[in-house]
Amino acid sequence: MSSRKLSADELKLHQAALAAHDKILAVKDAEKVVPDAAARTAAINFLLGTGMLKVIASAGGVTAFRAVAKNEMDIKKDMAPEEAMVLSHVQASGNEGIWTKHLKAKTELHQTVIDRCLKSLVQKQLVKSIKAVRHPTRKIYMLAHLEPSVELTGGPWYTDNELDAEFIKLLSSACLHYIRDRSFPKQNRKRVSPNQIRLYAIGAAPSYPSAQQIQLFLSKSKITETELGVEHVEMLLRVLELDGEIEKV
Amino acid sequence: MADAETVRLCTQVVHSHFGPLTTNIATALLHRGRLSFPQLLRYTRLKPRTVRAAILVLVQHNLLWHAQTEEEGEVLEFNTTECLKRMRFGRYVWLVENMFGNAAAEIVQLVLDHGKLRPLDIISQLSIYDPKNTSVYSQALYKLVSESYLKPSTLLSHQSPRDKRIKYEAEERAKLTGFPTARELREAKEVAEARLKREEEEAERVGLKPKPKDQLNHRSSKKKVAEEVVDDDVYFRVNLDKFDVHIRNKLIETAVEERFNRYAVVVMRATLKATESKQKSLSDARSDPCSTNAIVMHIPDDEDLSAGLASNSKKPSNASLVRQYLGLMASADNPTPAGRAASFLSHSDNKVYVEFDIISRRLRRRVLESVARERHGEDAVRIIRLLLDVGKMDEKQVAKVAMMANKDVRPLLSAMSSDCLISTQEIAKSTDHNPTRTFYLWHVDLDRAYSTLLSSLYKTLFNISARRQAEQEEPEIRAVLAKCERTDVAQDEKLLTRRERELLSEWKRRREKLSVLEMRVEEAVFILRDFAPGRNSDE
Repeated sequence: MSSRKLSADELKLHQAALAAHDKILAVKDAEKVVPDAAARTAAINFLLGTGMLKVIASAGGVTAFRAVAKNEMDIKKDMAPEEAMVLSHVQASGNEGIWTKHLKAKTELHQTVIDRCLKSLVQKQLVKSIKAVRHPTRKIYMLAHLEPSVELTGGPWYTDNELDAEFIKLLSSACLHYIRDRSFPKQNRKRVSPNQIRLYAIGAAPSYPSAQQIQLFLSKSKITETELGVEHVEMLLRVLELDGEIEKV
Repeated sequence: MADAETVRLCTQVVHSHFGPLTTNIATALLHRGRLSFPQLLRYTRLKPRTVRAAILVLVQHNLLWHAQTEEEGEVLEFNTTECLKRMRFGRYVWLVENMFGNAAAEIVQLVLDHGKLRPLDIISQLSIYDPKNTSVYSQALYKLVSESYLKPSTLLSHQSPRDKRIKYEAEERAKLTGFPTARELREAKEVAEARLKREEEEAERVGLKPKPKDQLNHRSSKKKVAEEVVDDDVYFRVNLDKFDVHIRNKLIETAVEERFNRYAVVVMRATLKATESKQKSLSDARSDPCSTNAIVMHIPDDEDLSAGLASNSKKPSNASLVRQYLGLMASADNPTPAGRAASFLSHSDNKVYVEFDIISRRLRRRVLESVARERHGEDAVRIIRLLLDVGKMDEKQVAKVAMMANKDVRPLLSAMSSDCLISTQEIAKSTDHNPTRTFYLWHVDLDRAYSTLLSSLYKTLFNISARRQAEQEEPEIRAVLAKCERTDVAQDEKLLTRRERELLSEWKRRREKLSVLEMRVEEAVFILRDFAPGRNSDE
């Protein structure tokens, strides 16, 4: 790898690529930046040679270049080619992560080599190992700075990859209280035996709460930090319905 | 043929009611199905005289059926349903006493003690000590017969209905052309069943016929010879079905109380009362219609119905309140299928029906759920309700919808399936039926679950009475009880020592506990076995 400074054209191209969306510079855009064909080819060739640009074949067969940032390049500079290969696959998997077995199939490297690469990548804090809720035994890797997707974590009901039964119980009892408060009228005396509670007459009942209202109540009541969507509340309500505590109207 | 638990329970009932010799015969019949007299002799190894006497006793108490077969001549068959209902006799007497007073209770008790009796015998037996009370008894008797708490015992009620059912069913089936569908077969069965029932009713009406005419005559001529009101030549037996109706109505009231409140119960009781005279057996899917006015008439005046309702109209009339309660119990505010399944009544243009079928289905489900709760905890109930709701479901789906961890669901499912509460359905992905390439779907097979529950309940009942027996036969207790039998001790309890009195009261307390337990189990049995409209009770 040559150590000379970048020429003006090369710098312009690299910065245009970095500034672009996704750090990708299409061939057409490159033409605009450096109109002279020979100079452009030379510059791109040099950048490719130093590893500051990468060729990407996008969907339509149009070639494009992806800029590699300076620090990213520094990391990759003293990396074994296997490591780079493994890293690129991990990178490609995004926030879904990649299972070591798939990694092995894709890279066609020996298991021990992959293990060594992953170990050193983890040490460099480039990738991290995560656990998926659905396949608790699989070793799955993804880039260190990414958050695992909902698919992997299992949504709000999972804490440390286990279904948080206590949390669910807490929330569903809160929902039940909310619904119960709205399903029965105020009792006359403070303490009445359970067979003497007052009921709403059919026309007199207020509208029963909907899933949206309950979601609003849960988010306002600050019972939990976790963000719950309407679909999550509906799951909770379904469980309450199965327990025979509430009825769907 | 009955299963092992039923046989054990029946044998025990017969033993405690009739003693060891009769038990011998009952056991042979229960284990081997219907038998002819010579066969019975061989299997019981008793003298013909003894066997004949025992058979007479059992027939007198409606526990044996005759059947005439072509191959074997006359054979005898044991009536398990009737036998198991003997456990409820105490309750029947109590019910009668509450409804019609002491005299009627004594009559029912006497008839129950003797199986079947003629009116004259009943009256003379009861008025031995008190000849003046004859008219009281005959009035009570008339009341019992006219409201069909006592029914005539006919030739037909001693014949096994099975042969006829099979015959009628075959006749119906012969009418079908081509390969019969499942539905046609079921319809044929129903037609045969209806024909059987009609015949039975006709036979019973024959026994009653002279009664209303006699009664009218005597009223008009002011000659109060009450013995002649009821047909004297007819043997009467207790109509257990009619009493079961009352037990059922009580159960419905309890269910209403749990679901709504005390005031709704008042309305429900009135509704049931309004149609009570027409409720003859438990097999009706819904009650006869009755109007709101009739219900209002049956509500006691001192009930303040408005206390249980929060409505926006001020000072509503009693009738409108009743209508409100009826609406609540009919789930009028919830027109979804779930709401309908939770309803007690249905009403259409001022006619109110009590939906026995829906209620019984719900009560039976509740028994199943409570058993699941008892044995496997709250989560099991959730799974069962889910499966009942959606039908068949994969293990993973169950875990997801019920919001439980996979590792918790798996053992629960297998534990419940070993208790026969739930069952699996296999769906092979390939033709070789390899277990690894097969879906296993879980579902609740209600019939299977109920019959397993029922037999385990029979087992419980057997164990309870075996326990009671054992308690009684402890040497110390037996000594005390024997001492209590002495006439001088019976008159003066002070002759017992303190220790003996303590022992006695302890024993009584235990016996009471066992009886309460027995009553609760019996209630569950009632729900599962008897309170099932549309299903034949002895199948």
